[in-house]
Amino acid sequence: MEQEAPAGWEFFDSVDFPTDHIDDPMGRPRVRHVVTAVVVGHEGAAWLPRLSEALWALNPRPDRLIAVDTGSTDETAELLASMPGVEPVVSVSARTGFGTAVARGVESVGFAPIPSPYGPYGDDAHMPVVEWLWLLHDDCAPAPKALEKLLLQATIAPEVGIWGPKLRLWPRDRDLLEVGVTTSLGGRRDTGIENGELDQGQHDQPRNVLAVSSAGMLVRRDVWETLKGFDPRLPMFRDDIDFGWRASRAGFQVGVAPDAVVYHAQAAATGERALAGTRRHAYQLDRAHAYYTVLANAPGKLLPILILRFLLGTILRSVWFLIGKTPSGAVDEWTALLGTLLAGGWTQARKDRRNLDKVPYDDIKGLFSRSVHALRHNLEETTSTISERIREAWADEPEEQVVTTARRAKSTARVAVGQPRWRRQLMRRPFLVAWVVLALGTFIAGRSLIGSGVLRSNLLLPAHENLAALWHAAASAPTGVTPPAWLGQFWALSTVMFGPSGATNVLLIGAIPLAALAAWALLRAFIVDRGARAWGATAYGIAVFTNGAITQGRLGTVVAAIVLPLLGAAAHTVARRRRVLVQGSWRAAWFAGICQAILFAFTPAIGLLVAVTLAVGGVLGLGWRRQGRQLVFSVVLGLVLVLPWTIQLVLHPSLLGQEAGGRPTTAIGPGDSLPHLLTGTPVGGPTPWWFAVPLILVALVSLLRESRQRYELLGWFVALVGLVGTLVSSRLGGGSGPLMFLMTAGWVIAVTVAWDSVGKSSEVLIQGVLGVVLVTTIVTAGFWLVRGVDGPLWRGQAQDLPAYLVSAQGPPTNDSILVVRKAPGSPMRYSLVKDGGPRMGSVEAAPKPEQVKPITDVLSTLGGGGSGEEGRQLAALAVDYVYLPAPVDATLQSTLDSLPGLTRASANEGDASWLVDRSNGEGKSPLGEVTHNLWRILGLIGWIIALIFCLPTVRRTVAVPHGTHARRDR
Amino acid sequence: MSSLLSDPRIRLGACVLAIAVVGGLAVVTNPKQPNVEPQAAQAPTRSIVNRTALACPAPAAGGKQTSVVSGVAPALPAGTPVAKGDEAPLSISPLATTADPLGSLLVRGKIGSSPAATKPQVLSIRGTGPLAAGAVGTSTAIATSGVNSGMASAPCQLPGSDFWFVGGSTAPDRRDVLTLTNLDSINAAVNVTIYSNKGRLDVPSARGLVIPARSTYELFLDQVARSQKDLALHIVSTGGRVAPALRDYATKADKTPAGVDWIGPTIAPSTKVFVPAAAPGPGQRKLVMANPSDLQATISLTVNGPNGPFKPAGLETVRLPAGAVSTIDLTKVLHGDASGISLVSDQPVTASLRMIDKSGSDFASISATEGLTGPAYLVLPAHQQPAILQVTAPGKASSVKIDLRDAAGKSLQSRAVDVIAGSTTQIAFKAQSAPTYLTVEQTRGTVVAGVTLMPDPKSDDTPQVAAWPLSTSLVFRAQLGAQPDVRAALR
Repeated sequence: MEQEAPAGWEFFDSVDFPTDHIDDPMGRPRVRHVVTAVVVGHEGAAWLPRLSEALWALNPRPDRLIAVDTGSTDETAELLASMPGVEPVVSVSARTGFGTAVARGVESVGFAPIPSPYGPYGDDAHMPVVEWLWLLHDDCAPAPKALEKLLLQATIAPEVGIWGPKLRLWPRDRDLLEVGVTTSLGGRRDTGIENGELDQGQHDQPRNVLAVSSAGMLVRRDVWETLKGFDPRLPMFRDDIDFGWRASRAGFQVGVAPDAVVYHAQAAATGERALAGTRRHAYQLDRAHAYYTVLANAPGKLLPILILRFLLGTILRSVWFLIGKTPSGAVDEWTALLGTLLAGGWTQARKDRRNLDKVPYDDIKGLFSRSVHALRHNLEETTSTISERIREAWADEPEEQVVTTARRAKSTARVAVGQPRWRRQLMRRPFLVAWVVLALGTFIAGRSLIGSGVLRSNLLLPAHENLAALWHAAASAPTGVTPPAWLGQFWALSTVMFGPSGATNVLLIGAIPLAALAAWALLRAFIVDRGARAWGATAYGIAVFTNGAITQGRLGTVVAAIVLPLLGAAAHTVARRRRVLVQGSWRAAWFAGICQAILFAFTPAIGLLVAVTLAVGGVLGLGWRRQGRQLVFSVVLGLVLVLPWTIQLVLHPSLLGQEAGGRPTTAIGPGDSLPHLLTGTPVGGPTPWWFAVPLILVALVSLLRESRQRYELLGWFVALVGLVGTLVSSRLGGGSGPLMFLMTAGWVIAVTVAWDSVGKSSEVLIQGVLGVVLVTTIVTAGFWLVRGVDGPLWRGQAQDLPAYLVSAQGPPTNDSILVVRKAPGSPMRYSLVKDGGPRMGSVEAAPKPEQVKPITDVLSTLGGGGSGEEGRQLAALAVDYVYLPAPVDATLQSTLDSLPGLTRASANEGDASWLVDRSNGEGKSPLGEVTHNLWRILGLIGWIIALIFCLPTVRRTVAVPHGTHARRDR
Repeated sequence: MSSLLSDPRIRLGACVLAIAVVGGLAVVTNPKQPNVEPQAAQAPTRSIVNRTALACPAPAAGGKQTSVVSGVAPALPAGTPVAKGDEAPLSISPLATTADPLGSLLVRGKIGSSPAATKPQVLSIRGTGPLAAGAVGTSTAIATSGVNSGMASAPCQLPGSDFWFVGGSTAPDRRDVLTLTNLDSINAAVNVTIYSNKGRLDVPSARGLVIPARSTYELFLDQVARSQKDLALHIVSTGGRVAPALRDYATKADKTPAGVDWIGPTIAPSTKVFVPAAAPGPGQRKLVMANPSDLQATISLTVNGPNGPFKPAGLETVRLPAGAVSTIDLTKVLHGDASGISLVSDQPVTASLRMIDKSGSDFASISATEGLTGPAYLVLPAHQQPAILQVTAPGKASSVKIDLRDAAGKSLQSRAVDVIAGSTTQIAFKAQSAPTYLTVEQTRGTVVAGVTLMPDPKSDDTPQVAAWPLSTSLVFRAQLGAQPDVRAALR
């Protein structure tokens, strides 16, 4: 029965339309090719009609078409039976692998008979006959001339035993999938094609490859029979590579004929059809088969190195999976490797393959992809995975995204139509412009703070010399003293910010752009108008300056200013009501917890206010449901992450009045001044208090609007909380620099929300009010540019001692220097300098008075004239030098001069220095240090867990070979 | 709540009200001064003076003279920390370690003296223990004739490393000797810088003087700086401590002796200098000023007389070249009144006042002192004329408490004195045949004080002129103690 070609076969390019004969352009003698095609179908009803069409259009057609159905439940069998010139469909079980199915089909039907050379069309046996097996998937479709081109190449190069076509993607037929395939010795399948690469003829050179995909593979019958088909141990994944590798070893070449095109729907790779045929994870199966293929075929001398390499890769990948919160991926990795290595199937396979070795490994070495490529590919894949996951994490929910996009479209429509493109782009991105201005302004405002040396102020001790010193200081403190929690966090920042000094520079000098960026990330969540958003972020950044946090070197306030908007964004993500089933986000809750831990460490007062607000507001406003619980969880997490410090905060509530930098920061606040208190400007700040008045007035006026009051009242709530906190703190003798920053931040939010609502209005009054806001901001920014370098922050040496005393603190002498400062009318103040002198956190981790009492006693006695024994006593306390910085107290100087055991040493101009005679035996320093290793380890584990939980999840991506024939698991 | 807040007027009112309430609370409450001191400063330690060593200078032998050193561990105000332990006596002894003590201070509040000696020698008051706190002494030598005629008396000196003297001279009528005493057990090395009216002198022989342990060194100024009218000395020890004293012999034009006395150390140069206690009565009063800086000093002079401050006509402003020492005669200006002198300069200067009795046969010198910040103690030797305590308040009105006690610690005169701003108040103490000791405690404002002894011009005895400045006892300067402060290591 002659079958009709179904309609629609003009689907294929007309240029691919069949022509008549397979002629060799080089004029070599003709060869008679006899082709047996095998189609294996499995649940392929969606694609089989296309394959039928393609077979109809094919010219020449295969001499015999065998169809194998592997237990499909849909109409696959019927569709297979209706293919042109098909033999009766062979049915096998659903578990049968592709190779086995092909073998069964060939076994039961047999190869196509060789036509008789005699007769009307016969060549009288002049032409040699070559028999071929052509493998087809049910989701592929050969182009009409595919077989012709394959056979043409086979005619040209008769020594090649396996031919493969060029695979292109079915729906978008310009996308290139494969032109031959190879593997690295690490097991990575490598097609040499970039993801999404278009076919522009760039790979159209017939060439030898290691293997070709089984979709469209043309195998010479003797090769098929010599190699005994595909390895039955590989039902999917790597069966094609193993086959090609074996062929190469056996001396049969594998070639790719790019002129022959086969379209492939990639049903398995795109997930349209479930991977099946096994009960194991696809990922595990992929790894296991990769190992098996390499182990079974690689030369014996390389095996130890390869196994080592597999181990290393497995370890790396399992760490990656653990970080990415997919522990089952790590389990897959290890079961795949150990299962393959220990099961021993590969040793049998090696034995089986020993007798087909005809070509030494070195001759086919060039066909493998180099490991460097694999590494590069891995790296690219990892980075793209990370960026994709981060994009996903930051993206709004799909429902909301639509709204946001629409809003954004509305807000950007008709901006600067008719302007040049670059200017239009700039006008559409006001925050980008503002941020670049802030970043440039940072360098102008910090002009004298850039250079060598370390940043110092009366509130900022010099940063540690290196990461190791900071790491030590973060967990070490004199007995009975808890090191401040912020040191550990600062260490973590320093590891990625060029060391402690670099981190200080970035935080203090770059505080304004960083804070502005963080504020922008928050404002993006609920501010639509780009102008308002840009203004809000900029004003928030400049508020860090007006607060004096930069000029005074208050690291705590700067960090709080950067972290607060991020915390706000996370809390917003948790608390907002969404039109989705699952409310809240655990990942955001973990992140909020981390932010709160940072606030607790750097600015405990803000930490407390935020924690109370989130816990109470979460439970009252959102109820003890998922979202409320998430907020409470974030508070608890924040308290747990800074744990020994939390206990300190409870035991010593006065720490709430301090920020990073210790007790000296309590001097920052409104003082006695009422205007400073009400405008949120600390006394001694760089700007006068009335700079904040326009902002407050506009924030008050904006309360009169009707719409969107929720966010605006939130801003006012923040400001009033800061105000009340400042009042309470200053009345209890604490510092309130960060709290006053909170006030300014609240007003900035209120005004930004108002601007967002009325920004499009053309009313003169509203435009005037916005103009006032803008002018105030610009004036303050100008103030910042000019006066940014004023103030106590300066750059200089980390120590004020002579160079020889600085170097004496290091090995081998490890001297300690007693620096004594005496101002007239005040007691002596002293510090025992060793190991680099006072550094960040030294004030908080200062030894207790009891611990330094021996030194205090010696100095007190010296102040009263001394008893003559002090030289020996100082030596017994392991003090090597006594140093009096200028102005030197004459009485003390003369007392020290007369002291036996002290010799004058050289000192800086105006200072005085003595060398203590320590020749009589060893001294013992009164300062003992305890390293809190337990807390450190617990803290590290806690932080790693928290970070992993707020990072996006890693997915196991199986690089499904494009030709893989899918099976369903039954 | 949310329905209430939906009314814009209520929203605005609530926010304004909240700000107003906070502002109101801020007005009615007072901020607590933040405590930025290091943690240890919560319980300050106090220095306890438990060792003292005072050098009591002695004039050279010559003529018929009696020399005596009197010392006392004075009664301290209640609450003053003193060293614990037994009250080991302080000894008045010669410098040599092997020498026997000549006298001792056994009990707090009782004056101890060395026996009157005709051959004066440098003595020390030294000791360790509770009595050391506040111990003071005075060395006095009296002669009726000869080169040492008159009274030479000076408080025993606490060793140190940086001293200034103003008012020395190597003019033909003067012979000045700098005595440097080292009480410690290690040698001291001393540099002496000399300033004259022509500027700083280059005197290599006065540099690098080594004063052996427990000994005295005498530097004759006319050997290093001949024929200089006015001199100022800066003594710096580069190792060890010394107690310097400047002994000054004067002769009249007819080569008869015109007395001997000690020129006391003055304060380090400063832009505000107060010279207390210009003795009342007739006789010359000369102010010697030194400007060791590298720039010309413009000094404005104020006399704090008994009736208040005034600027002397013609001497309102005095210019002193860089590095120079110069003398101005204030005899007419002071008009024989008890006065203090205030100098305000644009460059750091220092000064002393030389007082010569009417007959010109004895003199005394008083140097600029620091204002009193606590009790000051002074042992007064036996004197035949009333001694005058002069208290000057150069700034605001001030008050002091005065307590004069006899050798057994019995109070002779005790009162509180208010000093009018800018004026000098004088209190006379009757003649005493035995040493007494005086406590002057500043209770309000800034005061400088000194005690002078000026003979009655009608008497025909050998005039005895002396002056003693009062300075805050070390006990009250040193008791601030020490406290650990990490940031002390940084500027």
